[in-house]
Amino acid sequence: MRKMAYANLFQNLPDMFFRCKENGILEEVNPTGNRFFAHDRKSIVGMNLLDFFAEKQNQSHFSKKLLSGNPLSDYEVYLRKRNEENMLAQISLIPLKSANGTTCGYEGILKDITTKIENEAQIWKTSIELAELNIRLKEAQATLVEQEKMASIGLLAAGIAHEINNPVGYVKSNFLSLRKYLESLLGLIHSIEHVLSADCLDEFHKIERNIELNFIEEDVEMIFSETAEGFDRIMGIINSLKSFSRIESEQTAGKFDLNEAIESTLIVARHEYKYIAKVEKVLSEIPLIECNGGEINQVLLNLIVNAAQAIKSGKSTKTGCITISTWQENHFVFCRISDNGPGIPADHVNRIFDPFFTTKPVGQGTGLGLSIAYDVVVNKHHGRLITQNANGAQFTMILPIHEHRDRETQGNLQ
Amino acid sequence: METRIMQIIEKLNSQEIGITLVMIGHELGESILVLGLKGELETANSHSFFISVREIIDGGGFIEKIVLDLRDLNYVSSTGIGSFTQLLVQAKQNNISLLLCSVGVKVRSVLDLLGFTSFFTIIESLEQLKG
Repeated sequence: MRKMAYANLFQNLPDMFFRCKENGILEEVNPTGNRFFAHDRKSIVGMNLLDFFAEKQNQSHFSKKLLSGNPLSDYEVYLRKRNEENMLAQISLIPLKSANGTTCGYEGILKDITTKIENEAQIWKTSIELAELNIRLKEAQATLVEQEKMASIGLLAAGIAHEINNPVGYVKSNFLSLRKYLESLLGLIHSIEHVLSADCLDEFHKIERNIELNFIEEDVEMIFSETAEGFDRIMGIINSLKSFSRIESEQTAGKFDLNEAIESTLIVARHEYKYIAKVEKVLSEIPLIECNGGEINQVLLNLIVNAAQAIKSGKSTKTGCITISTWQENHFVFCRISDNGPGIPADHVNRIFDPFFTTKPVGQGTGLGLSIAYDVVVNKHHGRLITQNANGAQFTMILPIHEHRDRETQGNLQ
Repeated sequence: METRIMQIIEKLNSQEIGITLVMIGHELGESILVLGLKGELETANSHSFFISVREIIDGGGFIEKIVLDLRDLNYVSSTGIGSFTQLLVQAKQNNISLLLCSVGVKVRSVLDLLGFTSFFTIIESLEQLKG
């Protein structure tokens, strides 16, 4: 009856039509079914559907489905075709009932969905890859923005330093001249004292007392020495800003004095730590290193500011202390910055170098400082940045002395 | 947090569509969520399963890691694998890692044949989470 009504469909549909017993033995199969599974133009009638399963462990699951007597829709399973290729098949079954109502077999359709699913899988893979790329793009964008911001600040600092340098230069030079002139004038006053007659001398001493010449002489000396000290400090800050932003050697990796960089970064960052912690320096004699100084300064600034903020966040009553030490080991220069703050919580240790990871309140930290530091040290300079807790947080930056040697000596570093 | 996740799980389980979720653990300051899958993940119920887990992922909270324990999953169709991959995308976008645990031979063979083994982090047992 089925053949009569749908003979054309049965003969020519690209899917396998079949009837089987509840144990899986095939009783009737259309030509497509034979094309899928039969060898040597024989028929697969009499064979068991379960024999075509590519994975034996899937047979028992399907057997249970057959024994249940329920319809089955879109069951997917890998089958082995006659050419030994795997086919992902989608099987739907309708039970055949005997007169007493028990299931005596099934009629079913088996569809080859291999290509369809392979195409879908390709789309799924692409969407995973796209999601990953998207995340990396966002990270890169944020890092770029932050780096751009820091670079602008560096540029601005260098610009200001340069602009202030000239006026400060001539104000200082004028000051020195003024000091010389005033010293001459005071000398003149004292010489006059010696050549005056007794009458005039009384009058002279009266005037001297009135204008408090003795006091003026003492005070002028103090004013001059304080002002000279002030000038020295201003010049120091200008030099630090210039060396920090390294405007002259921004583009190329040159010889870099890490100890000097620490000194100038400490001056630039003074505002961040001066009321929070004292700084102890244990700077050993180390060779100049080949690196991009502007970037390394950035790392030092980040680590020092972080140390100060960590101490502040700890709200401890003990005096804050940031210890900075440098030393050399083999082909590497080490720089360790430790604080006596609360340390890094154990569950944060693995994440502190992740972009956007921050424990600071919204608006105070971008969560990029340490990730940029990591990028500069590890990716750009082939060094290492290690963190550990030792009475507070401790960051150790390890930089190769020679850039071109980094690959040969990487073994030592590991 | 926990209540919200339980409600989502309860909602899926009450539909009785052949797949249920079991809350196995929610540990380490709620940063790791372990969900067990029970039953069969097939063409018809994959979408409901996806919607439920997506709701958990989107809810955020402190979750850093979601582990899907597949030891009681008897069958997975390609659509089921599709829903895993969609969840992986969703998790990545929320900065959450999605792990598969106790992947039986049946599920693993489908993952292998579709070429997805490398995309998922697969762990043998929940013990490995402690490492």
